[in-house]
Amino acid sequence: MADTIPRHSDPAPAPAPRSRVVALVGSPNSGKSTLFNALTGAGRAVGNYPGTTVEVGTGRWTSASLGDVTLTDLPGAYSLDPLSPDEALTAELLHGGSALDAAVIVCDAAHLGRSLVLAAHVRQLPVRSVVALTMSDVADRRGVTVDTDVLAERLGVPVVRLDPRRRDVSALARALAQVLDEPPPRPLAVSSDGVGRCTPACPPECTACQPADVADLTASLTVDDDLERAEQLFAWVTETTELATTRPPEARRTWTDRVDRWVTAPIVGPLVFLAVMWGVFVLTTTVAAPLQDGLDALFTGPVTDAARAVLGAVGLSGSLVEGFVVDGLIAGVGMLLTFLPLMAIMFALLALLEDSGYMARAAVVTDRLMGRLGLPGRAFMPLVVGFGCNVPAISAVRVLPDARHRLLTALLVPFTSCSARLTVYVMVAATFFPDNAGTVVFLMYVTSIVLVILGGLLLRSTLIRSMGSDPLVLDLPTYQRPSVRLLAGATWMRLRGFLQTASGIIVATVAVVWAMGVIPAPGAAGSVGDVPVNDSLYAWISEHVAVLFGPTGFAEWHAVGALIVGFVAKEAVISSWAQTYPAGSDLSASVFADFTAASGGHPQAAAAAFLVFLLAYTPCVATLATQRRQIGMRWTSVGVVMQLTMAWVLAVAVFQIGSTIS
Amino acid sequence: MMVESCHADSVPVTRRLAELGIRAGTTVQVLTRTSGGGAILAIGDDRIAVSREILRGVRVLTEASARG
Repeated sequence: MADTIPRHSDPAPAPAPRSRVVALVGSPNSGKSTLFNALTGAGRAVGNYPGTTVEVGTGRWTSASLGDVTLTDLPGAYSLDPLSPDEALTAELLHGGSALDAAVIVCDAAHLGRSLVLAAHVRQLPVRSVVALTMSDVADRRGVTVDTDVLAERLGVPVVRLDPRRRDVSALARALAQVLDEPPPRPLAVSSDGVGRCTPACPPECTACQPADVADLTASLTVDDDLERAEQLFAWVTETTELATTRPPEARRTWTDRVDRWVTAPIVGPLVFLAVMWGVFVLTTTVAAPLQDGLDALFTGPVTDAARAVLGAVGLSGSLVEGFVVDGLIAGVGMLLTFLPLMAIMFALLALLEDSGYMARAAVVTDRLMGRLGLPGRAFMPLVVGFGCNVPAISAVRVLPDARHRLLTALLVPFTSCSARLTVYVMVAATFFPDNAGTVVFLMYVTSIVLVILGGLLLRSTLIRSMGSDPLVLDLPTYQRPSVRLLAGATWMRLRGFLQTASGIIVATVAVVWAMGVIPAPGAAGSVGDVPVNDSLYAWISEHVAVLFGPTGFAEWHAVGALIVGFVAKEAVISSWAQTYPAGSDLSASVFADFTAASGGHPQAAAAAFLVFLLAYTPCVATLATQRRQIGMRWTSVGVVMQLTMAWVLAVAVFQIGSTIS
Repeated sequence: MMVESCHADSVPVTRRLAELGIRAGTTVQVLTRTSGGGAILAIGDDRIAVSREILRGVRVLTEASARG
């Protein structure tokens, strides 16, 4: 590997006139993303790096001295010795530096020592770079000052002090423009006996200035040589920090420390956490609900009426076109839009919890409990939100800094029983278990939690084996008041991303289900748009799929048809189930009669199997769309297969055991 | 308290602790014990939360032993 990486003596190719690519690197909480937002403004996007589930931001940075550059916001990393796939991506992209024209290394003035580990690693690579010194305001308040001249001399690259909250970044642009015009600087030497002594002014023959063997930076550090090199680096970092900073003799206790004494303490800490989670849950359910209902009412009422009026005026009343527009398109767009308030609230809450610094404390408090379940502490939040709605819950997995944890959690969230499933539980439980309906519904939630744990064990022992269970080592950022502008910006950017990925899938699926209902089954009488539901393609497909449900006791097309609709949205299960029976008939009585017949006289066992299947299989198409955005198509497919398999196996087990007992 | 040595169960975690400032020769303070048996450590202005497993691997020199 070392041979493939150009050494500093190699002449670098002159920058081509194409848009230059500049990477932003920094440790988590260093102010890197804030800087990225300030530099790129509204034209930025976040998305998974191709072939990974690691999120990378890209945007266009335009300035007078630089012109246009493409800015890439690499995942936060403490060093180029990666501990997570996210850090590994950062290391990989910097090592394969040919695609990068330069790097902006974000260093936190308030935590300089820690920032310098990463800065030194990057500077050991033949990459043009500039250091952006952030958080000087925080350092000032602590009486700490950083001498940028000393830092620049030690690192051998320009150091620009900035405060991204003030948005003045012209000095950074000028420094970067200058660096881009020069050949890459000599890689930083901290190895052999040159600790802290080499400067950019060293003669070329200085042996201490030989660049560190880059390959060793990422190779596993098992050899004494590597440990020695690491020690030299730390010695250099310590010395540089001491030379570049002046600080009061005693580090003071801050109000962050006083808050943390309570917020992470035994008993009080978990109580604070539960209160915060309760707040998140209430906001994403109770507060979002009227907004969702309002949008739903708008679409099923005025918008539908207006569309009917317009289509009626041009003579299309009662036609297929009207059916498609009203029941396909408007229903699909309406469903998509009802998610918007929910997602906006979720994204704003996530940004608020992260930017304020509380999320790291939540991870500390939940670490032990979740660790017992084989899950990271931060997975608690998406799983709690999942009981309201799985869609924002899956988008919430991005609070997990490790791609493997995000993947695992995103695959487990669908097992949390969302509120849309509750309406079906209530109907089925009231029909089949009228005396114990409440207990049955409660048991569904218990089963949901068990499924999350079982699913986690299953995934960790099969597909996601590489996931370590590293003990908690977490850098706690200072609490800060989140800026409204940044919150709004982050929320809008995420909301736009959700619309871009989810809208097509959701609207298309709703339209397909509508089409299935108006197309006659093969061989059936009737024409497109004029066919009773019993003779529709929907009934025909349901009947064929029902064969697979033989051992579950509910192999009957009305119920299976309801499950097919439930693949699109659980909210629609009851209404479309009712539509498959003649108008005016009692849904409960019809379902009971059909289940009794299909199960050979064990309707309760079949109903229990149906409930378990409904809980465990894919929640809705919006969940899948969000999963695809978070973890990619391949893993989403894996999740679908896993859920359908688990749902079927559990339903069969429940019916077979239930029908034997009863 | 001065750290004498710090070893986690795996090399990468030991290295990460070192990168975050928990390494031989640095001064750390236990700021508070956390829920679950871990602690928040203060290294200068940095605050690092670690689990109880990690704490077990950190050996420190008390002031008495440092003087002696």
